[in-house]
Amino acid sequence: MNIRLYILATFNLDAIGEANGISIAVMGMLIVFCALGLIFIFIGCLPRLMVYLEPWLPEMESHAPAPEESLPLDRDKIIVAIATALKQRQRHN
Amino acid sequence: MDIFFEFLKTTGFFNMTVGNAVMILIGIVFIGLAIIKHYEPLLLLPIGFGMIVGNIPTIASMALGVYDEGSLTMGEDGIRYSPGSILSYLYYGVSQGVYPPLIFLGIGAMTDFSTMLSNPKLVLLGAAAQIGIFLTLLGALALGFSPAQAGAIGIIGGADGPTAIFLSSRLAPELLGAIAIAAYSYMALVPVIQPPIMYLFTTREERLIRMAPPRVVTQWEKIIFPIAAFLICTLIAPGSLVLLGMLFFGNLMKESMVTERLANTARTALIDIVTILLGFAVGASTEAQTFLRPQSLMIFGLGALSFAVATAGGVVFAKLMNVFLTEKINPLVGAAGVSAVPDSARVVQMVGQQEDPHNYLLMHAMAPNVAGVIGSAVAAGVLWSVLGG
Repeated sequence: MNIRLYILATFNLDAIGEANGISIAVMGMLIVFCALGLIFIFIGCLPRLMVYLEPWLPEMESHAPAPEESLPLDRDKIIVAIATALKQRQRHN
Repeated sequence: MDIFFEFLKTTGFFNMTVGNAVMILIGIVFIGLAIIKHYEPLLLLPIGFGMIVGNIPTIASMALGVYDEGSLTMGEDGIRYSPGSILSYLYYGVSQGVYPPLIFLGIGAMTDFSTMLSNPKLVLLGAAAQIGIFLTLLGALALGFSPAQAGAIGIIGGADGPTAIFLSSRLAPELLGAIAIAAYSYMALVPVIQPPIMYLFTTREERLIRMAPPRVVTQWEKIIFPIAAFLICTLIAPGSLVLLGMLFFGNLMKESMVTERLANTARTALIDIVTILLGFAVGASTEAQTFLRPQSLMIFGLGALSFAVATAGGVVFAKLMNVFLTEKINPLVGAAGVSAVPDSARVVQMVGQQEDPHNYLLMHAMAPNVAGVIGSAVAAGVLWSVLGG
């Protein structure tokens, strides 16, 4: 109840105008949109830019290992697991 | 016996105020939320324990609290330095804005901008969600806060703890504790706050929209992007230089693949150490005498409003974009524009899958999510440069 009274007592829309609040808010939003809008345009142009740049750039591999690279390791692990399971079964028998 | 009674007067039990007890209880609730509910445990646990530490009453002559800083005094034997408390040195990283850029370095080293690069129009959702910041600024001004304080409170809507701490340390250090606690509390409550707003502003048909899978992005695109994005943002808003500089530097270390050791340290050990120090120091700064004021409650109220408006802003802007787009985007994705990486993206995935269990929105939501991080840092830079004079 006291907090509600405190808020009602302090609430003053004129303070927004006095501090140029609307102008700051509108300008701030426009600048954020401008920055991210330019990033949007840059990313949109990036594939076309890469067409020109790629002949000059060395080839680079991506972070993610190619499926072919990861297969032998996985296959080995699976074979070891199957062999261990079969050996344990033979022992029990 | 007199010595014993004198000692009793120095104990925490003797000097405990109701405010201290309330804050210790809140600290225990934070720890409970972290351990039992798993709400942002990496943040709420250090903050919660820090709150308990910061509210143990101490004796005035002993430098123990975060606000007991070192000082120089002029005496008969010349200038004498009285060292501050250990907590004040830990808090130095918060009050001087040292920790947030280091956290941004780690975030940069773990962020993958691929989804954003593959679907650039989603970047705009990260801008739209920043409306929460600027509308809250107006609300805070109307409630009697000074312009600088209003700017610091507004940034809670950016849903980015480090950015909130950084800006409030520059604009309104006296409100830093309340703003930091509000920002991190609401970040932890993203799964509770966002879904009702997402349901309110979308129809079932919209929530069922499936988006095209993202295109494959080359490694060179990922390397060029952080340099170009840094130049674009900081030339427009130089105030965001520190935060975005560290964010994109961390990302370049990751994507260049020639500094893997550095990137690995930034995204693991470094960010963990700084998170511990930041969380604990922020928690310890919430001494009841400085924290339990009507202002703090208003900051919490404005923070909740800010989060809600930011979420609605992202969702509504996505719907607006759909009016002009042939390939529609799921408006739920707009809610991830508030940053709060990666929780808000997870919430988008969760709400989307409640309508269609085979609709995978997580990858798409990560684009506005990381754009939101950039957007809130730019907004912080703008507010700092306009209100910090």
